[in-house]
Amino acid sequence: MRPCVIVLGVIGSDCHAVGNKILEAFFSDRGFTVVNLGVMVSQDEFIDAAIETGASAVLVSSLYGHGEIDCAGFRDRCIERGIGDIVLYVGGNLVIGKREPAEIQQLYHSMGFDRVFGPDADLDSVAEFLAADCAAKAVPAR
Amino acid sequence: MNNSSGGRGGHYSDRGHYNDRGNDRNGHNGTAEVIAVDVGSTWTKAGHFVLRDGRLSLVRRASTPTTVEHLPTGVLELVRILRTADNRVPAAAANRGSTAVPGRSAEAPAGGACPVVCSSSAKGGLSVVAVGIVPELTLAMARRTALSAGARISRVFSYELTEDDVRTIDQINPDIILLTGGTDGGNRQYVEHNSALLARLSARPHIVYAGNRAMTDRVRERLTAFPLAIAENILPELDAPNPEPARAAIREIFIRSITSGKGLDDLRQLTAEPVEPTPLVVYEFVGALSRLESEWGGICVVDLGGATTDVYTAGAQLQADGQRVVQKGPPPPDVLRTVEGDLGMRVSAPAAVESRREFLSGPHSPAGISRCAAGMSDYAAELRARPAHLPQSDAEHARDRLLAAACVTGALERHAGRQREVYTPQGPVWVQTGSDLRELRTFVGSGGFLAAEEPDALTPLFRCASLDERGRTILLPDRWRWLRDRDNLLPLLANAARRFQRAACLAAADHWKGGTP
Repeated sequence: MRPCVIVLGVIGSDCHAVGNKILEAFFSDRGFTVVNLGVMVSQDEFIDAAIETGASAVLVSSLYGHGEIDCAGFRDRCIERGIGDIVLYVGGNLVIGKREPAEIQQLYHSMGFDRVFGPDADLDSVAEFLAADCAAKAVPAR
Repeated sequence: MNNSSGGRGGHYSDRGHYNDRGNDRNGHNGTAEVIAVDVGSTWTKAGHFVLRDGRLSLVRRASTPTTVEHLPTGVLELVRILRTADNRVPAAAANRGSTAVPGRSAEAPAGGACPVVCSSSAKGGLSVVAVGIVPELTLAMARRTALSAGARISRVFSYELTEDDVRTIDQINPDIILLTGGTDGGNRQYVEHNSALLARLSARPHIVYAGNRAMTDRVRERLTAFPLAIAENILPELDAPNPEPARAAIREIFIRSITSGKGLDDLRQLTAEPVEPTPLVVYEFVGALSRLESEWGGICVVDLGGATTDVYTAGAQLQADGQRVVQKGPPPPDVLRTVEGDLGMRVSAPAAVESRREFLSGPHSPAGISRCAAGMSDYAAELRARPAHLPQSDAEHARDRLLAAACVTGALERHAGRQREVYTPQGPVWVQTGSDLRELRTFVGSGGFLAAEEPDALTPLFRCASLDERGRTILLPDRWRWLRDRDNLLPLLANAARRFQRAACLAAADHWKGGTP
């Protein structure tokens, strides 16, 4: 079976590079083909890369608190660009200040993200979700 | 032809950079020689070069109007003139149409069996249509690759082709279609669609497929009716451009097939090397120059023509330094060629006035220019109607200079990369696209106008903008040294370099700094 291609990057004006490298190593180790765009990635750069690499999923990181602004309209943009059915994850320090996890999830679900993870997410379970979600959407011929 | 093995490097890589092999090949008494010919769209030019003690001298040159109905006629005529010239008398006296150029030695060998190398940009040069997916990714690479192979890009298409696009391609009737799309193992949908559409073409151009490797068999089965070359993917991974195999495939097709379509195959018996596209030969030469003249801090060659402005840069790219600069898009190549089809001195003059309106009317224009700028549109229209026109008055001359400045600055601004500063919680960071050319110090002007004009007179006019229309910094130097390719030797030296690379580079450096090769 073709390995699942995922696009990884840190969105917006955020240059936290360390976690990004850890995620790249982790998902590669788990058998995903990782296209890592690094830090300071715009929505269109994620989408360009997903189109060209035929990715099944886009994993967006945001560490600096402005994710709410950077991620707004992400799914809509994917729809406009012709990859509306792609799996979208987001994770990190997604809001400023203390807010309930359920509230944060609700916020990002409304932007069209399939799954939302906090800074303390268990990567093993993320990988399991990811494999299952990619298989379920099964868009191998993009 | 199948280039799937790909991977073979640049044209000269197997020879070592400066191995002037002619030295012991056709040498006698420690000398060797070559006749270099450049077949242009209007003029065919030739020069007889002699290599002695590692120095290349131009012994004699000649030119003749390009014989469009049969290109070899003009070439053979020039070679005959240069080969039979009696070296004891100035060539101009012996041959109508040939121009004597002072050589280093009065006793240059007569070019009896002197080898000939030739390049051509006649009959429209090498016309390529590029097809990719995302404009900033595979399509950008396809465009860059075709230009590095010396092509003229007739049209580019991103994402899905339409029936209308297919008709457009049929009308353009290009020499080659460069079909790309998808990283290896990546997107298949667009190549699937686009190869099916291309199969409906009435024309039968060469097609080079250099996209997602996984689609190779599909493309081959779809495009059986076409002469098809398969090359390695130009973008196998997003951050790992791989233009060389596709470039080699394009070059191979030009040499094997396209030259014969333009009637150049009759030269095969005559020439020591295959006839190549002139921009490809210049591209290789600029790369060699940058490696040799490292103290120049990189080199930029601007070829300002009647229809286009070509810019080549090499050896100047600043490395993005880790934390503070974030590079976006495919990493820039070592040698970069860009071609501006709307910036030119004659056929493209009206388009240039239109595109560079802001420059021509801007506050940056030096005093006295605004007076000339007023009549620019009318003058440009006149130039387009009469491309052979030369300035007849001081006013016209001033307009020509202004037009040249508009073209050169516009082409340089588009050629250079961009940076924008982004404030982050970790401090300012510069996001960069394209090449950082701020360390570039040497600019060489080539082509009819720039070759003739005193560079000092142009320098005050050649002022590029520091910010683009989106407020990003244009990565060009504040100051530079402007050199001039007097007598338009660039295409001849670039051809001579195919035999004597190191000596031709030294001769060019000498020539541009004011010496006489």
